[in-house]
Amino acid sequence: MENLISILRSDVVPSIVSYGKVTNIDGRKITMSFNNDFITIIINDDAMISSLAGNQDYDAGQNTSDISQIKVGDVLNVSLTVDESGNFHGDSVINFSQN
Amino acid sequence: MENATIYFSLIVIFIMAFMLGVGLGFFLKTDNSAIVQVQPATELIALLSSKPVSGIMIYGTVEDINDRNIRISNQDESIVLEISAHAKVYKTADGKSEEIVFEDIKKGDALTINSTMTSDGKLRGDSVYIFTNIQK
Repeated sequence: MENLISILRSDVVPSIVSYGKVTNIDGRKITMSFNNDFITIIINDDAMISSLAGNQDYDAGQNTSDISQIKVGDVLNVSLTVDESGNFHGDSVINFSQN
Repeated sequence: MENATIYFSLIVIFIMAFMLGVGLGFFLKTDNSAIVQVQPATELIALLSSKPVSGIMIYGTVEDINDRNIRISNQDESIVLEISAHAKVYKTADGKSEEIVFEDIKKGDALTINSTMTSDGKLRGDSVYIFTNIQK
């Protein structure tokens, strides 16, 4: 276990990419699902969050966003890392479905 | 007078016992901040091999190649992973990318590998990108 976590936290593994639809939001803890599998990620305070779709506040294209704009049902691409306990932490988030 | 002495002694003993208990409790208290919930390995492997995890990026320099197993290192850390027989291998130079074969990968090449975790906890390379050749 320690070996697996140390590998995932090493410089050889710069990031892990996850993709899915948001099913639950609890503070900065976001649960996503894809093909009936679920993953929960803690979004870091300094995570870069952006949306690819346009909305009433932003023009179409990639825009800076924040976690409060992420909703259940949104489709996200999250770049994450693993902490020493095996929990996932989101470093950057791209929201594909903000309207 | 004798009863008063007994009551006084009992009170003193009670206070001393109470203070001793408080002191021991403080000394032996559990440091909750030190308790870390660690995911069981099987659970972590299951999560990493689940559908929402689309890829685990591997970056480093090729240290060794044995059959389809590549040892790749970065900053004194290294891992060995097997490159899938179906993996595509690309070489990128001057802004252009061309598909090459696995056998073209050499020691010293700097690679980015898109990998996935198998259900038995092994990393499997699904696509390989050679960006530069580093002479060692």
